[in-house]
Amino acid sequence: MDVIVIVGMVSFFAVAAGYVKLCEKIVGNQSSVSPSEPGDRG
Amino acid sequence: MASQWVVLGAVIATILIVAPPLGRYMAVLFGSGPAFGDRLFSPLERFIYRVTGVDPEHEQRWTAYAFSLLAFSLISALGLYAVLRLQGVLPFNPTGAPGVDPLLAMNVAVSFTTNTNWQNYGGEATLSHFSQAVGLVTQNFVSAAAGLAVMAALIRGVARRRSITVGNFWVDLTRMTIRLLLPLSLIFALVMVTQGVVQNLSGFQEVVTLDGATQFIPGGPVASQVAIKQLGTNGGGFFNTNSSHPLENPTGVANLLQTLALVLIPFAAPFTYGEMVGRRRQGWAIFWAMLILLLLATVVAMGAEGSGNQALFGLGIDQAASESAPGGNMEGKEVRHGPGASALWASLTTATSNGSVNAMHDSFTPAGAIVTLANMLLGEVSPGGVGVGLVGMLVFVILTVFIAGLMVGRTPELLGKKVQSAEVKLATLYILTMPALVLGITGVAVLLPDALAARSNPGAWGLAEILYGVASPANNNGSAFAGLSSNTPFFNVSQAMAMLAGRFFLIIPILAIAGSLVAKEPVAATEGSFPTDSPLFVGLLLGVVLILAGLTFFPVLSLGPVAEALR
Repeated sequence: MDVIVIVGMVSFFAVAAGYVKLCEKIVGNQSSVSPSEPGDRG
Repeated sequence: MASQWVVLGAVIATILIVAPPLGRYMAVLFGSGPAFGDRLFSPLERFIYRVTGVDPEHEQRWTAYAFSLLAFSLISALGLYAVLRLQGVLPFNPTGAPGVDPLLAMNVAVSFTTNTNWQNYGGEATLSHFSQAVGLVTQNFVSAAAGLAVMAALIRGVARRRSITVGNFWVDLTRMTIRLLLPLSLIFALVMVTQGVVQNLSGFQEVVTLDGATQFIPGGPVASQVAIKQLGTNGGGFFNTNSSHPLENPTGVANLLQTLALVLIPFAAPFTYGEMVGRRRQGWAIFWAMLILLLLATVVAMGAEGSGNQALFGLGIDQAASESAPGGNMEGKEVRHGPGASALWASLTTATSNGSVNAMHDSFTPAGAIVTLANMLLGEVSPGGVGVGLVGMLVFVILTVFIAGLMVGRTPELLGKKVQSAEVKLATLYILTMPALVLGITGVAVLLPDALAARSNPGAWGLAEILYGVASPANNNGSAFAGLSSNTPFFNVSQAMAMLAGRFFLIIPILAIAGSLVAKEPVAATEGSFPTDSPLFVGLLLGVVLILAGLTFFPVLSLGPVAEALR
C-alpha cells in the first residue's frame, strides 16, 4: 500500500508539472498579440 | 448576546489598526532593501542559503518558481507521510501511538502540505507528539509561507515592467518563515501559555476526580501548534475537538486572541499589494471588498445562531439568554463561548481558509451553516488564506476589469497593464477548477453507498454534510462540519485529490498570470481608463464574486441547507 500511495502522490505532481507546461503555452501564445487589440477605442 | 456585537466591533477595529502596518512590513520583506531585524535574521538566512545551495541573488521565471514550489511540496508530502507511518518507532510518543494507516497518512500528509489541515485523524488520540510538533507544525509554517510566496510572485508580476522574473521561491519561503511566521508564532504561543494552553511533553495523566471517577488528562506541545495553526490559516488542532477543547482554548481572552489571529495576516495582504505596486488606494479597495463580504456573512451567522433554533421554538423550549444559559442555538457549542463567539469564529475560520473550529458546524442553524459553506464556495477570498486569499481576489479583479472592458469596448487594464487573452484564459482555469472539484466529487459521493453511509443525517442535511466534506478540502479550508465520518477509503482518497488539485491547479495559473503580466509595459492612464480603486470598482468586484459563486453553487445549496431551512 505504501508504494501505491507514494506512486500516487508522485504522479499527481508529475501531472501538475505538465499543467505548468500547458499554462506556459497559454502565456507563450499571447506574445504574438499586439498591445492594441482590434476594437480597442481607448 | 449584545456583548458579542461589541466583540465583532473590536475585531474589526483591531484589523483596521494592525493590518496596514503589518502588510507594509510584509512588503518590505518581499523587497531586497534593509528590513527590521536584519542583524538577527540575515545571518540565519545566509546560513540556510549556504546549506541548501540557494543563490539569493538569482531570480526565477514563473515556470522555475512553479517547479520549485511543486518540488518542495512533493518532498514535504513524502516526508510527512514517512513521519506518520513511522511514528510508532520515532521518539516523543508517550501515548504509544502506532503508525498511521497508509490511506489516512496520505490524507493527512496532503492536508498539511496544502495548508488545508483537514483532520480525518483523531488528534491526540491518533498522533504522537513528534508527528504533531515536528511533522505537522513544520508544514504549518512552510505551507503558509509558500502561499505568501505565491502572493509575492503575482504582485511582482503586476508591479514590475518588462521583466522576465517574479522573484526567488526559496528566498520568499525562507524570509516569510523566519521573519514573519516564526516570530509572531513564538510571541503568540507564549501568550497562549499564560492563558493556560498546555505546552509540555506529557502523555495522558490518570487522575481521580472529586467524585471518585478516573479521568485521563492529555498533555503535549499544544501552545506551539495553536499559534501557527491560527496565524498561518492552517487550522489543524492538537486535540481532536480543536479549539473547543479547554486545554487548547481555555479562556475568553484566549478565544478572542485566537479569533483575531485568524484574520490578521490575510487582511494585511491587500496592504502588501498596495505598497508593492506603489498605490496604497489599490490595497484599500481590495481590503474593503474583502471586509464587506466577511461582514455580510458574519452578521448573518451571528444573528442566526443568536436567535436560536426555530424548530425548538415550536416545541415551547425557552432559548432566551439568562443567568444560567447563554441563549440562542447552543447545540454543538461550548457554553463558555456561547452562540455569538462560536458563530463569529465559524465565519472567520471558513472565510480565511483556516479551518480551526471552536464549535461543531453541523449543529448550526441552516442559515449559519449556509454562511460557513458560502464563505468557502466564494473561493476563499474574504479574505482567504495567507497569501492565496489575496491572489484569489486579484483573479476576480482581472475578471472584473475584463467584464468592465467588455461593457465599454476597451481592452481591459490592470494598473496600466493590458489584460489580454492569456490572462483571461488562465483566470478562467482558476475559476473553474474549484467548482469542478466540489460539484464533481459531491456528485460521485451521493451515488456511492459507502459515502452515503458516512453521513450523520439523512436528506437535505446529509447532502450538506457531504458538500461540506468536499468543499472544505477543495478550498484548502480544512474545517469540518463534524457530521461526516470521512475516515473511509473513498473520502481519504477523493479529499486528498481535492486538496492537491485545489491547491496546485489554482496556484499554477496564478504564477502563469504573474509571468505574463511581468513582461508587459504599462500604458499611461487616460480619461477612458477604468480606475480600480474607486467605490464603483469595489461594488463591481463584489458583484462578480457573488454572482459567479451564486450561479455555480445555488442549485446544490438549494438541495442542501436551503431546503433544510425551508422544511
